[in-house]
Amino acid sequence: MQFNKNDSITLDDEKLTIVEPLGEGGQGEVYLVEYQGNRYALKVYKDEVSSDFRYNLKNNIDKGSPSNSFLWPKLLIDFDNDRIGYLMDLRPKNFVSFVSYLTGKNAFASREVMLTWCINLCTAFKKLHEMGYSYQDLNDGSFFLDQTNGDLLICDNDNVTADKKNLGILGKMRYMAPEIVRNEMMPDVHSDRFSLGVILFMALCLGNPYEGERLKNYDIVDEKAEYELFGSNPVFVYHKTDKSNRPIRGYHTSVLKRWAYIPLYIKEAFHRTFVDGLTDRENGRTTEIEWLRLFMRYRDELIRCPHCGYEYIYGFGEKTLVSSCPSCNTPTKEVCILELGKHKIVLDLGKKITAAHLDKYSSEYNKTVATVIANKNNPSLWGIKLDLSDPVEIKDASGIQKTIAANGIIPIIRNLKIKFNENIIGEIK
Amino acid sequence: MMQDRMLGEGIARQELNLLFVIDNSGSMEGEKLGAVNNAIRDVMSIMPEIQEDTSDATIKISALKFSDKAEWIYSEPQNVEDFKWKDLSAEGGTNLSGAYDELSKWLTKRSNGGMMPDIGGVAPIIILMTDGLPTSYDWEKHLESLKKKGWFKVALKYALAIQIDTDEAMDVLNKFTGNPETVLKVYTAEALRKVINVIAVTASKVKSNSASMGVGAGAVNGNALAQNEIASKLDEVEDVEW
Ligand SMILES: [Zn+2]
Repeated sequence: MQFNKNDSITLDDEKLTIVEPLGEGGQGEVYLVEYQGNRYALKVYKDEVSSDFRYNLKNNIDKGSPSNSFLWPKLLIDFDNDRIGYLMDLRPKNFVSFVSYLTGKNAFASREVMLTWCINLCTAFKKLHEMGYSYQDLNDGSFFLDQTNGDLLICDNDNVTADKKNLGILGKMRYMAPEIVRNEMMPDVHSDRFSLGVILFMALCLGNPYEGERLKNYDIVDEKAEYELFGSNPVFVYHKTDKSNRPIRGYHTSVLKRWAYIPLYIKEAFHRTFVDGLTDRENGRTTEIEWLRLFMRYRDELIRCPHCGYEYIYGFGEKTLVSSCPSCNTPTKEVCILELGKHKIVLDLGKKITAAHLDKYSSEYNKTVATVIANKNNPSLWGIKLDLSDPVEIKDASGIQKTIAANGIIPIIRNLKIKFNENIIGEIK
Repeated sequence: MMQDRMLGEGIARQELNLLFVIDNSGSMEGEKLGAVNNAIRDVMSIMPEIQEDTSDATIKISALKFSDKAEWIYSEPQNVEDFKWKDLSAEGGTNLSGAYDELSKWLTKRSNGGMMPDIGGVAPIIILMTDGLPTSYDWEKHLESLKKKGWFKVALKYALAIQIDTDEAMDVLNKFTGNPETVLKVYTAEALRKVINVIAVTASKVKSNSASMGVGAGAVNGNALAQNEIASKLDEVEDVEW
């Protein structure tokens, strides 16, 4: 390590103190530091970096973070020995690593929370891409999550660059788009989109979309094997017609169990990315906005089994509705459905209506504007608790109209119409 | 939380085996074996962090000691958190042939009676430590059959010569690694401790993070990548030659 505990560095007359070393990675060292009365993480590069790299980092700092999901570099520091580094905020304690989720050490509090995290991930990528950046080196180690609410944190953002540029960063093949593995293209939005699909597949299925039976062809998984599996001849494990690379029974246990309960429309989106997207990189890969709509739909139709607490889909997009709990076989409970434009929201206890439900141009997929709650005195009576800025109009089946205050409660009654605004009228079914 | 655990035990991971092969013959008595014991404890205290950084591979640890005969410390490779080190004591001769035979058996697929994974195994890391010449004179014959094992061929192999540097001793170790660049002469206990640390920790870190490649640079060999990083770190350790 280049610095020791209690070392201090002077930056523009301000003192920066090394509190303690935090860790060491391939590219650099990370320290806990104090600067201007606050604590930060300081990353110091071990080797001299290229002027392109420095320029890029400086530029990213100046342009600022795409959203608060990124642990973005804040201040560039030039050291006397021609090394550079940067300050960033510390990772808050409520976040655990995506790695620890994948390995089964940590879990999301519920499926709903996992989908909220996926929505946060797609939103972060959308914002990054809108700023003309691409992530380039995406892998399991970059992501963190809050298990209780689905908050996301993306670290290692120093490799983010403008589209179609690259800084010669080492990446991991199993997360890369095949054209990058084959060294035919520079990383860009489209290769990022492929990698986003891989991370989403991992989050939902706990497996890699290209690791299946064909692993058996290799005694040892080396770079040649990975080049074939992820570069020259990748076959999606759930390819509809080429069944040569299905997950291995007794080995890819999680994928086999989880894939079975994923909605058809999500399966289609994965198939598109991992089959069509192999050749059609610009139009074959599911985009962030498409993922966002699909995950919103998935979250809307979740229902919780009254017997065992398992969350499963109501089945709007399946061949038939799901008639019983996949975990314990208890018949699906009776619930009301709120139809709101294209949205069908299962009004189960705790279900949230978001800003994006009421405005198709909103990107606030996780901003709650109403929640399904139970009556304190009569828990079998449910209502929709509003958290809006304006009142809404409701009209029941007999035509009686009523105004509900912006923070009031709408009773859940079949055939009740809810006018959120001039354009958005919902109906409870 | 319940429901997710019910749905699966986590992602299927590749398996990276790290093997220590330790000479505990009489001549290792004292400082040398003490340094080895310390070094392995050090390594094992860092290993959990390395394991936590990646979901690509599970790191499995094995240790083989050899004196008059060769013996595995655990009867199968252990997860990082389950591998508890018991200090070795020194006694007897240097039966390298026996060690090679045990390695041959170990470096075989599980379905064929060995300890290597049937699916998803990555090239292992083997670190041999010795301070003298084998007392088993037919070691070369045993090395020949070990070299036929695919798992041995692809392994990242290091050999540490502890306070010896005769041509004869170097020849034994060069033949083991097949590469003089990964044979290191170590002169002090402190250097030995550092070297074992650097090799075991760096190699596990690089290799557990799946085969890597540079964008625009093509595939990078995992062993070569690890070897480069180890070499640059060893520059800082004194009393080592290679
Ligand atoms: Zn149930």
